[in-house]
Amino acid sequence: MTDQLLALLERPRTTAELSGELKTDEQAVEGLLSLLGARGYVGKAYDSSPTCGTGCGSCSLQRLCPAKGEEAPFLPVWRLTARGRDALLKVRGTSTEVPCPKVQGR
Amino acid sequence: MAALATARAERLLVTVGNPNVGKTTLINAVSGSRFEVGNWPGTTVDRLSAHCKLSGRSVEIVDLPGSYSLAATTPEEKIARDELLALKPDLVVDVVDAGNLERNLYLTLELAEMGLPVVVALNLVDEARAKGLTIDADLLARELGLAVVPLVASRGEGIGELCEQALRDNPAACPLVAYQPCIEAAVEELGALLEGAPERRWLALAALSGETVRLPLPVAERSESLRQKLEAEGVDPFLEIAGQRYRTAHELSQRVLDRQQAPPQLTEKIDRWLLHPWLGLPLFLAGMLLVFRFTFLFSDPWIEFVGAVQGVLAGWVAGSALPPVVQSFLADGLIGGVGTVMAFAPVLFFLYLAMSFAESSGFLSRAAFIADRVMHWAGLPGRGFIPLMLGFGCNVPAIYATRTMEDFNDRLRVALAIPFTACSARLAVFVLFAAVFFPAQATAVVFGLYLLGLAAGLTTAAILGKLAPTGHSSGAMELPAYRLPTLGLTLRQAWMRTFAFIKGAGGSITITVLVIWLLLNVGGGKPENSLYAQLSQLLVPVFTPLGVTDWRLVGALIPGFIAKEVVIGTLGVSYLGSEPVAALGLMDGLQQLGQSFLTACWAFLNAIPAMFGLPQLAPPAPEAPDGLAGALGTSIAPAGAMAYLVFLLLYTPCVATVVAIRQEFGRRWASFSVFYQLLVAYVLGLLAYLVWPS
Repeated sequence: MTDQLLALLERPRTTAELSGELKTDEQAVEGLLSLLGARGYVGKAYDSSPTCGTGCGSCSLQRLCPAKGEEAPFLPVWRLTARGRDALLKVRGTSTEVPCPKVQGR
Repeated sequence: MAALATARAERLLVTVGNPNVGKTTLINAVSGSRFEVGNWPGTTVDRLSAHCKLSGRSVEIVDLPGSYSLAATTPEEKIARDELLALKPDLVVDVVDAGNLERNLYLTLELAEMGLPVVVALNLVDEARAKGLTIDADLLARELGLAVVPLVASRGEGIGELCEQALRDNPAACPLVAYQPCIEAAVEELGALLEGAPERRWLALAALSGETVRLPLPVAERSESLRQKLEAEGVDPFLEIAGQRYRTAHELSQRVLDRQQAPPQLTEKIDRWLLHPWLGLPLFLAGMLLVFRFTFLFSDPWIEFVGAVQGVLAGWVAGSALPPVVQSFLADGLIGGVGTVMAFAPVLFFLYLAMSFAESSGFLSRAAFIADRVMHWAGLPGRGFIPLMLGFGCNVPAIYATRTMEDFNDRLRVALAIPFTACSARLAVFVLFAAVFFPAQATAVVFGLYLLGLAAGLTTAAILGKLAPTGHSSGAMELPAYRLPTLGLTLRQAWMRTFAFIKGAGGSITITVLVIWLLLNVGGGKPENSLYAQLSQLLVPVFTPLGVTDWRLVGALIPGFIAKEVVIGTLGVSYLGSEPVAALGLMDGLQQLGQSFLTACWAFLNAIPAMFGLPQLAPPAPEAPDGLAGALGTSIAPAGAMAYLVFLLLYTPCVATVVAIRQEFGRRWASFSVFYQLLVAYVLGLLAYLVWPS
């Protein structure tokens, strides 16, 4: 699942898009993204955007804008970081796709 | 807050779970304690514990902070992980949100790998049912190999069964996730080194994932070498382990969940109208019209009041014994500058009040959805709606927001369209201008300018699209549910934004006004002979075809390049600075202030029925406007005023926007943007002058 997610994030996408592509629950995708984000594989598309000194303060659409990072996660768009790109290249470099193992019961 | 543990109870229970799944409510229901409960993630950020008796046995319940995983990516997750490893509880109660099973199961799978005895408390089943989700709890129990108790903790449903389960001797959970053979081999090797530790599988997986866990030195060294070996073979253990856990959680939830069509909720009912293919756009436009009408009706009395305060202060200065040059500096420069900033305050406050309501209620995000459709019509990619909508707030972050688009041509088209959208700073200027030039049709004029900006931007993007066609990317929209914002929150947001604007832009406006005052007083005695007037007059022939012949109006466009907020201040000082100010005594001034305040209050109260189209109770406003409104009204005809407003809307918004375009697309496109906008602004301004009735 992480391989597919990284491959999808070659172009920045929203959580809803990723969830649609992976055919999985949106909140589960959010969980995986924050886990990958914490380890530096993915990031929000605007993390390092500079912002206008006065504009954001007066902007009534701040919640739509992820430029302010944690304060405005209304519509987060995710992207691959350099580490994520390296990981994706490595995954592609391996010979086969990892088969999905069955869940072990008790 | 919590009853702290003083002695080891007979039985130790630990509750864990994702944030906001009702762990604290569950403990309160079980133990009768009163931990603080909140309807947002992160209510519990530290370890809390309560003591109680269950069937006569003393039990300590420890509530751990909400955690999505045990990877310790947040301080809360670190506390949860460390406490679980240290406490060795008799039972872990894993509180799972039934409406969000897949994400919650990730933590359950990790707990199972820890080898602890676990009971799954399947909470919020009522909310899940309302969403059309039914979970087969028996099947889930069989799949997990764990006891699963469905609950509605807030109503006490299922608590009795959970208490019974909590007192039983539950066996340790078994691992449920199978990893690639190479990972399993490494886990087995490390597990053998950790013989005797029930959580050895989880520890081995954590170490291979690169997490910081306490391990004996030889184990830590071996895990590091195994990890490096796996990476060298092209396997990222962290990605493999996390991915496999998510895949397992997904497959499990698919097997036990039954999704049915939930009955339509209020949000869906409203959206049927607001997102209707034909009605959506008119309803959105009607909503924005209401926003502007509200702003005008309620801010107008206070703009008048600010003007009156400015007049009285200038009158007091004129009546003082100060030298004429100091009087001029104080009255025209300082009071003029600060007064201009303050004149923005009521406009901005009511504009932001309305916009905060539209935003918090969920209306604005629907606006974005509708804009998306309009953009498709203009041949723009769906994803471009986000930056374009942001442009209505501020053009600068909107330009940077185009980074989400992969195609350079698409990005460029949207970036060149953004500066045409009326950002909130320009909107405030238009509100003031419209009140001055077109008091009777102010709402319609501002609304028209708002639409004109959007149309100019979309047309620009569409034309560029024809010149350099691109493939379209898809877009997805997340729409929050509607809710009624609280009055307190809306007022606070509006106040904070107004204050932030005044604080941020106030300095530049005041400095610009003071510089203009200085320029007006440098040169030959009268303002029309000043250096500033001479510079402005050089540009007057350019604007004469637009019906703008007054050097003071033309001159104000120059500092307008820096930021639009300074245009009104510049006009204020250049018009009113040349007007003689009548001296006022202290008592006369106070009397004028009191009268103005009462008039403003009365007019404000009358704005309430006027908002709903009811006849106003107040007498009509005086026919002859005073101050800047009066001075401007006599210096330009209505057609010229409209041309001036159109030019103001469409030419370069501010230096910061140009810098943003240069950073993102290079100097060439930034220059193109400036010249192209000047051209469009001039042509459309000329058109406005020709078609607007004189």
